[in-house]
Amino acid sequence: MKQSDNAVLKLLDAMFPGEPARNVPDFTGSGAFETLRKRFGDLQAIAELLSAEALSEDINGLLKQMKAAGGDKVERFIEEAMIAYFSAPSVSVPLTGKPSPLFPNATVMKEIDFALLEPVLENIRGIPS
Amino acid sequence: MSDFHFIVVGAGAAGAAVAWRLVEKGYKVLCLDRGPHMDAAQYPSTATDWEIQKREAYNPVIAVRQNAFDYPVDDGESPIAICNYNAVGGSTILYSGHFPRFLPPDFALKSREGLGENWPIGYNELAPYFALNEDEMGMSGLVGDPYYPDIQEALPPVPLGIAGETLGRAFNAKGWHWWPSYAAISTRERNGRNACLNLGPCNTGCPQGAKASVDITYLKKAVAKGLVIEAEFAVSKLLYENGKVAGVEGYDCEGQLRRFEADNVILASSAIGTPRLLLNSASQDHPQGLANTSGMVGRNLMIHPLGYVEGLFEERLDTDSGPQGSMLYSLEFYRNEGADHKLGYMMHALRGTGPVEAATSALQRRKLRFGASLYDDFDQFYAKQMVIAVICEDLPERENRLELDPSKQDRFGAPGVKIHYQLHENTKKMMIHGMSRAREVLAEAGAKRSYAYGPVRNTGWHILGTARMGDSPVDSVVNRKGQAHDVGNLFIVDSSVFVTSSCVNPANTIQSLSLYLADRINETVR
Repeated sequence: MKQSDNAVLKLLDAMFPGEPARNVPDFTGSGAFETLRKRFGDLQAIAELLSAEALSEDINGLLKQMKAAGGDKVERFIEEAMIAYFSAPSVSVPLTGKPSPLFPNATVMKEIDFALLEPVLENIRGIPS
Repeated sequence: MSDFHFIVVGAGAAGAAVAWRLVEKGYKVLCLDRGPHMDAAQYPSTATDWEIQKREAYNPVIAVRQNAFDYPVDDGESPIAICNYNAVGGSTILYSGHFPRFLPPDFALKSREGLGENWPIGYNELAPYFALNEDEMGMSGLVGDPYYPDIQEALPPVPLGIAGETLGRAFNAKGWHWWPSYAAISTRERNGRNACLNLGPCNTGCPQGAKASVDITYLKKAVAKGLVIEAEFAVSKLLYENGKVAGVEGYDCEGQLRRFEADNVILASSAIGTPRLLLNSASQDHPQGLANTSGMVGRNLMIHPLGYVEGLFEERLDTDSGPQGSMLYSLEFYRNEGADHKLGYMMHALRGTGPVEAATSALQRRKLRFGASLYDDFDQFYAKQMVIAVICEDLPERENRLELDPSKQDRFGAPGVKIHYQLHENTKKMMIHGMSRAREVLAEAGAKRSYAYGPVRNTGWHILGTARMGDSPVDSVVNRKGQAHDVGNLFIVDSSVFVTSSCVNPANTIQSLSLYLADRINETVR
């Protein structure tokens, strides 16, 4: 792995640290890095905005500084990192409780309580004349 | 003598319905579509990256998607982006399946409201075709809606879930109309189709086959009766010879220029695709485009501007289950006497989104922090969002239109289109009214916060009016039988012919009208 990739991964793990109590992995553990690399492309540019000291700062403050310095590119990096991370089944399944892929898993939902519609039938006339 | 009685250009909602009806009557029909046959086993919800695919190859916004089968659409000057899908099945591959009918007053807007124009036909002529279409597509819903007293049959409605019942109680507390959605979604096994699994995202294709796209309904039956479909054939123009349409010309999947001939041509390529073909068929005989003596081809473009109101709830709802775009709707504000606007809107309740969209939505609202707080912040949004879309009736305006854009071409060199569209002042006032009412009912339902904005850009699904129907060739393109005033063997059956837009999803009315026009076409040609 390139040195720049390592630096970016440290940033990503700070952004997405994981939640062990719910078995949600951090960014490295999620397996989303390759997805991000394919979709974003210019990780080198993100690495150039980082320093070893910077990573010790509050992550949200750091991202704000990076956006000020890097503009649209950093905004896009953040968005693509979100997309890659929350698409990873290792993340989406423990967070949502939904299977991945969704198909062919069925969810049984309760039948409609038709009594709820009684007020509509009593009070609503339909198309105004 | 041609090989076919009819060529139908477009294998979407309208094209499939008309092709089936004509094949049933014994005609030889060829249906062409520039898009491919779809494989339901490859739809995004069969994969783990469905939300990524929804942003790319299954993105509904044609200007963003730019698949090989698409033509360029420049909607940069419109506040609403054009949405569609080019495939055998058309936009029904991606639509949500919400399936209300237009209402009787929608066909007589000029007489009743002094606005727009009257259709040359009325609801009563379409009524039996609505019933036919709903049976063929397998509509689910609940009989008894006071707004739709003549709907007599439907499969059981899609579930409301906790979210829908919560919202329904809120509508009841307000004394407002609401009703479970009519949906082209099979809630029981029927006619060889499976029942809905409630897995959520209908707008990336239904691998279960429960949502009624026309490839698995009308086209399947029509092929069994002899319909010929040629997919990946991009019609570029109609051929006008000896005073009539002789056929069409276009490019096949290998890029070869070919022509097909028929006794009659029926256009069903959507309110963007149909005028595009007519305008691109200009000739010495038809310098403004084929069938365009009136100058109306491409004009009177109507879209349903949509206001979006999202309520955020404290407790987790079940909005990640059930058909995303079909839950319940309200026509309480279909008409609003005393309001500062004319006509009205439908409130269409939508279920929630997947995890990617929930997270990015929270980030956009500055409610998501990176680091340790990320997961709690995510939990505040996921499956706690419920949306009401305010679908506003649009009025026909001559200057809302599309025109050919030769500077941008499809892969075969045929021109794209440029959209000119602005919201009517009436619509802006209506949308503000609607978003305010939507916030009220979401608050009544217990939403701790709501976010409202409109018009939402990426919602231009309901495109209508660009080759409109009328009795006079001066200001309409086709007559009440869908026959072009200028060209006797050319017919149009899709949403281009719509005279008004109503405020409800148009798919059911598009198909029902197409079936009605098929019968009129039969009477005309036999």
